[in-house]
Amino acid sequence: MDRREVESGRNSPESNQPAAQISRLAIDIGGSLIKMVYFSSGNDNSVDYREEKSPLAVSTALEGKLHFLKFETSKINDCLDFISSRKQLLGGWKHDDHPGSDEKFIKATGGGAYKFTNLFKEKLGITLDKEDEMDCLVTGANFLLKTVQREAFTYMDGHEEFVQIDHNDLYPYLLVNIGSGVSMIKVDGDGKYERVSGTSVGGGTFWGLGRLLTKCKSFDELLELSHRGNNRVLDMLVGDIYGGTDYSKMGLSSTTIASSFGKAISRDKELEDYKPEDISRSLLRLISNNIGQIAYLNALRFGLKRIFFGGFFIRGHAYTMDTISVAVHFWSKGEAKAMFLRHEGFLGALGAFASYEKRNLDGLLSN
Amino acid sequence: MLLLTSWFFEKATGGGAYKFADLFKEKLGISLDKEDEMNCLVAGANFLLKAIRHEAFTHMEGQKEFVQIDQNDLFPYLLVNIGSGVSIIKVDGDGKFERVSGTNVGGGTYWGLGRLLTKCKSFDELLELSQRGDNRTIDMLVGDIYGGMDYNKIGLSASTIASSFGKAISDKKELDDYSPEDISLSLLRMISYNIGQIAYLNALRFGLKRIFFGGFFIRGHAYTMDTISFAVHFWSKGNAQAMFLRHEGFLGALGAFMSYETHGLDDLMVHHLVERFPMGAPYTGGSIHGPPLGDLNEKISWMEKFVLKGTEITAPVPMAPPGTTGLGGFEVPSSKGGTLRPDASALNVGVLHLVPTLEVFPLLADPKTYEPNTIDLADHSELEYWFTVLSEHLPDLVDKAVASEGGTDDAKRRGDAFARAFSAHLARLMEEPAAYGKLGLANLLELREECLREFQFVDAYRSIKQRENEASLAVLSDLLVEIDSMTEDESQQNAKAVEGADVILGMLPLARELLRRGTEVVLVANSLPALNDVTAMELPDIVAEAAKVILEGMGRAIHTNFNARFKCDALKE
Repeated sequence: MDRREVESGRNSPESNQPAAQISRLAIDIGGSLIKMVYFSSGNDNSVDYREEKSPLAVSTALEGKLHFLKFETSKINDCLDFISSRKQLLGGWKHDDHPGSDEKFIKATGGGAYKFTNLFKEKLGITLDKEDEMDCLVTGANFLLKTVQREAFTYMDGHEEFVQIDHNDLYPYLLVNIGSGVSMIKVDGDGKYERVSGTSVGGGTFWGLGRLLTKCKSFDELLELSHRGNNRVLDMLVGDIYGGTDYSKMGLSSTTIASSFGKAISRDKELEDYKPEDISRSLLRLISNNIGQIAYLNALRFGLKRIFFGGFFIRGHAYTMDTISVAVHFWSKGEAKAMFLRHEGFLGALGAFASYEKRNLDGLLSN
Repeated sequence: MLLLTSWFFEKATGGGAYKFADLFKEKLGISLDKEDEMNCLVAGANFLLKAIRHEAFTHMEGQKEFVQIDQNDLFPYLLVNIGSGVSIIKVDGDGKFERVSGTNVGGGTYWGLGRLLTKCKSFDELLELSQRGDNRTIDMLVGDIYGGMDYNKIGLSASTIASSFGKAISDKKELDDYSPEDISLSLLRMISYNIGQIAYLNALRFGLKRIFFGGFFIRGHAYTMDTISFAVHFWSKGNAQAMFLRHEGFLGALGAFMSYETHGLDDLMVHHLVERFPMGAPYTGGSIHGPPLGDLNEKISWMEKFVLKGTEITAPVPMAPPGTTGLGGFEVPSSKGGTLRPDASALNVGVLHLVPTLEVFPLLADPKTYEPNTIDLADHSELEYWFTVLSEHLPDLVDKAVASEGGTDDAKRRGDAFARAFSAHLARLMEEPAAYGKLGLANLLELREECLREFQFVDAYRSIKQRENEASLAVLSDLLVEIDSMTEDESQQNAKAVEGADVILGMLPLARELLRRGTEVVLVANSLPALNDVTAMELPDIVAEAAKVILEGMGRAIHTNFNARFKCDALKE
């Protein structure tokens, strides 16, 4: 991977450390979740229950695995405990600017890297070496798209199809990272990008509104519910307004949603009368569809054909991906394509991880 | 909008027309003529923008500003109609449009989700709740993620919403622990902001600078308009502008009405319509409740009953400062607490009177920019001054008006009703100066005249004028003899001496003098004893040839037209 331009005024993590330096950990502390990526040497076969993805095997000059974990930001102590228990693994590496000091650093990104600086210092004696959030997202995405095979895929009508990315024809693309909120970034190359748009209607909205409406205990439970739901109970469809006939003149079919939650205005039913499954389904469609639409409008603005969706909201959830894909397909009349990344939730953490050492990582994980 | 309501039954639009066609046929024996919904919206918007003065306005940080649209430079524009869902339409001309986008997150979503989350009983109740809300308890802000810091690099301030409802993920609080006010505000901001963003992205796509937002979701609600405006401003970096329509809720119905081609309303121009606000306007916020009032007697007794029952409504109410959003438009509304009214921004719409014989005065230098009002009451000190003047003068005016009708008991009763109705107008305007659209002094005086006429005072000053005219006529012949004996210099010096009965002792001798020198003179006067704009002048073809315009009288030359520019020399006296 190419060396990324380091912003002026920042500490350059220029490395002169030995290649044997293998144990590394980077975190991305978002509004709702902490995403962690760490590298362990080849003979470590332990799998932590918090691992979100199967470890990614690495075999070049370095043998080992990349692990992907997540914690809830509200339970940050779990994360601190985890790091504390692996502290010995972190031993040895030092900040480049202070080779003589014993101070330990962890690469960190996301807003929480700023918010929790003191907490890490006090509890673990670890300094968070902050990397810019957008930098990390882009670095992470570029890294995955260029070095991990079968990383990107399309998803339509329940059908998953891997996309082979030509390294020389990757840019420009639109990166849509759906975390608590949504960032839309136009990527023109390594370290060359611009945050062109975003929306506050994201994963946090799904989980926050969903919790209030359904009393679900977890994000996964809420997603799970949506599988069994029917959005027609709450959503007002074009057919509901026009008496079942298509409003075809405007290119709207009778099953198009005219108004999300529009049927909930009925006086006959209260919140308790609706099934949590149906609520979850309507909410998921509202948010996925909206993100798909805004993403497409931004892709159109810059003439981008490829839109990659990442972030923890997606979680490989079929219906979410389907809805986003349909939205992009519908609004672009088939011109633009939604693509997803297998390691979608870890773009920022991977980017932070990659910032340890550009030189040695270049080609390191190309398997 | 009473007229349109009745038309609406016959000329139906909106999805419901399709659904309820059978019901109407069965119950009322009326068949619905299903006009295409988009057609109606566009026709309605084009009509409003072309035919009604100051129909459009911008709304930023609680400040309303009326915009006069040049009808030759109206197209193309983006029309965003926010009903249950949202339609985004690119309009290129009359009947030339395309639905380019839309979103399913609209008014139905706000009301549907809002009902489920707050148990509100009505849309208006939900909207009202948002006035007192603080969305920071539920929305996750950039500052919440960054520990109070801005994320400057990408231009996000700490108060920017990072994730709508993002704080509700906390497992420490359940739905009942959040206040309905906060929920309503978070929801309103989420939806308004989203609509503004999608609308802007579509405007950008087609290079459109003007975006008009209409539909019932807005309801003249200040915070809704502010949020939408902010979104458009924010994303366009100030290049695009969100505009709103005073008659926003009636677009579809107006358009359906417009489709009666036989009325020939398509050709209406801005000067053909005069908007008047009947006595019910201050109370109703634009929608007429209760049975239609047919005759004068019903009007008077309605006024009497209403004022007896609800005097507290007519009294000016405490008013929060006009700003509703604070800096950046992303903060909580400042109009919290102590506000009696649901929303400072509710607009009243009047009845549009069609006067097809009106023509633009041909000698105006630039009819497009012509603004008759000398005094703009948007200036708060002017506003207070004139309200005081008119309020203090009201008893005297009522006396004169009653006297002009012979001082009968009937006249007294009408006079009381007039005083109540006009006080209610004044109270409403004091509360919300833009309630009836752009307000200049001339509009206010015209409103007073209209109100007098509504209670059948044909000419309140009739008896006074009669007395003055008789006195003036008595001295007219002497004056003319005196003028005839003067040299040219003397007559100019003495021009100032003729005051008082200005027409008889001023304009008539002047006209006589001009005629004697061979000049063709056209005397123009208003048909109604009121303060009318120059646009109302008749005989345009004759006047078009004139070489000089003389405007005389306080109403014609001081508080209106003082700043007006004409194509020829003008004397304003």
